[in-house]
Amino acid sequence: MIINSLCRAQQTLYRREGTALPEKIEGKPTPDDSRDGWLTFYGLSPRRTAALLESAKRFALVMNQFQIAGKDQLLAVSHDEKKKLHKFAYSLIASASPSDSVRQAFVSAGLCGNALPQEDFEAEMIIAGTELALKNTHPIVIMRTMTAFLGFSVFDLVEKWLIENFNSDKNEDEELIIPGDLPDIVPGKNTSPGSISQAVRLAGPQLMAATLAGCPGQTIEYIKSLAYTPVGQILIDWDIRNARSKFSSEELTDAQNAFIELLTSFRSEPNPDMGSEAEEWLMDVDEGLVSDISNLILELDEHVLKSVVSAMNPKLAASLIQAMEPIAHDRLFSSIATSKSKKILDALENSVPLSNNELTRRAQIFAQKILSEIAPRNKTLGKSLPLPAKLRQLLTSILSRE
Amino acid sequence: MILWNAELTKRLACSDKEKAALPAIVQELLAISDKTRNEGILPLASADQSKIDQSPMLHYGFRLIAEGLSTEALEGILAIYLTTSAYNGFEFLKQCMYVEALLSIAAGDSRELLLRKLVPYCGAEKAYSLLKALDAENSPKAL
Repeated sequence: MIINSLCRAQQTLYRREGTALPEKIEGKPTPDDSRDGWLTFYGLSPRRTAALLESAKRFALVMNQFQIAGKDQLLAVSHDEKKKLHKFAYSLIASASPSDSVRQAFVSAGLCGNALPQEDFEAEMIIAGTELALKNTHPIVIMRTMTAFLGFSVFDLVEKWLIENFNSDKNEDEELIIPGDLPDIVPGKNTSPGSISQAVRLAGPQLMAATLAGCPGQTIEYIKSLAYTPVGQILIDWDIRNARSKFSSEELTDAQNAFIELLTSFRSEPNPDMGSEAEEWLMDVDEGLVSDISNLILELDEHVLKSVVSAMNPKLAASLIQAMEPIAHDRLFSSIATSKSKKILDALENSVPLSNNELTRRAQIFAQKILSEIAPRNKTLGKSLPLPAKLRQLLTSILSRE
Repeated sequence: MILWNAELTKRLACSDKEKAALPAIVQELLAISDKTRNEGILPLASADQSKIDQSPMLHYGFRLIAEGLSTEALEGILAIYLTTSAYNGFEFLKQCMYVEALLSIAAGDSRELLLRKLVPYCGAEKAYSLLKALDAENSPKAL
């Protein structure tokens, strides 16, 4: 909850004895009070705001150089630095001090801890930046955090500056393509911008970077265009580069599969605004049939599944997918060639929700195809097929439906 | 564990009359979260959202979410905006609810989980009746 973070921030910024709380503001702020309608406690003049913004920019640029060139670069900058706050921060970062002791170090050095919070404004900004730098945070996040002290009035300026100063590495990226199904799934009719965007947020930056690290450029650009602003795109590119150097191909494939599972889970969840027809269909769908089809896919011998699905009309496979759990989707797609998967996904894009009767009929056609595949060509009439009990039960359950 | 700070509590205090307006804010935020689930974050991060433009916190908050920051970084940044703001009372409480919703949306929470994170801001009694109404009607849009 944000309350805990607020308690910590409140404790830190207004910790001094006798510090007055911000005065109560009646009514809505007027445009004269603040250009963006957001009032800050510090009430900084435009000139002071501009000076503090320059201070944050300088700090973020030095952190960027430090992350690229290392400690020696930082020590060289520190040597020439005139401002005490910056110089001290650089020395703490160069010596890899623990991030949770930064504030105390600034207080001990007499650079923070004045009676009025206004007097420590720049120190608070630099402390926040130093703590993040010691955690190896990207300079964009450092900049966003430091300039949060200045309110929203500089938000757009900061965005423009970040794009100008951190967008230079993109052309150096080399594509790394590993086996995975994500490029076949997105873009697609069943992966709406909303579900992709939500899956991206739920996955978080690290999993997302590992997921995209093994995808073709086209897939990366598509997902970026749906879920990230230009600044976000710079950040995820940086995370992708890190993931490519940090993880093995197997780990990147695992990440991609985990993301696909997230994405498909959204596709199977009812959506409050998806329309009454789709909602009714979701409510009416026969859960027993879904369970039987899914279990059948999971129980089948890989060779049989591959043979049946490969020979199957993509439209029939697409209609079965409507009544299948995500784990069964994965098995089905993993058993067939990518070209066949693509045809099924294309058919799925053009399919409409089917009634339970239609789904049952298609499931029964699927069951019959399985039996044909399993049955030996010289099978004697009247003799039962040698099927595992579980498989027999599932096929019987599907074929006996009316 | 929920931390407690006397000055923050004082800063969050507002009248019963003001508290009566909080369920409407919860409803507004649930509607916004539905929109993000259908359309994604980027449309809300654009400048043309007149409803959201009324609140700088929501407008810029969605832009921060679309920068793909980690939940920890986003929470840290939004906490700074809130703490250094000059707001008090009802307006401050409202901004806290906005931030709670932004963090929940950023984390990809479901509608139900977002609701459960927001209703405590309405006070224990009101929160209970809101959740009870939701369960009774068994509708995702009930309040």
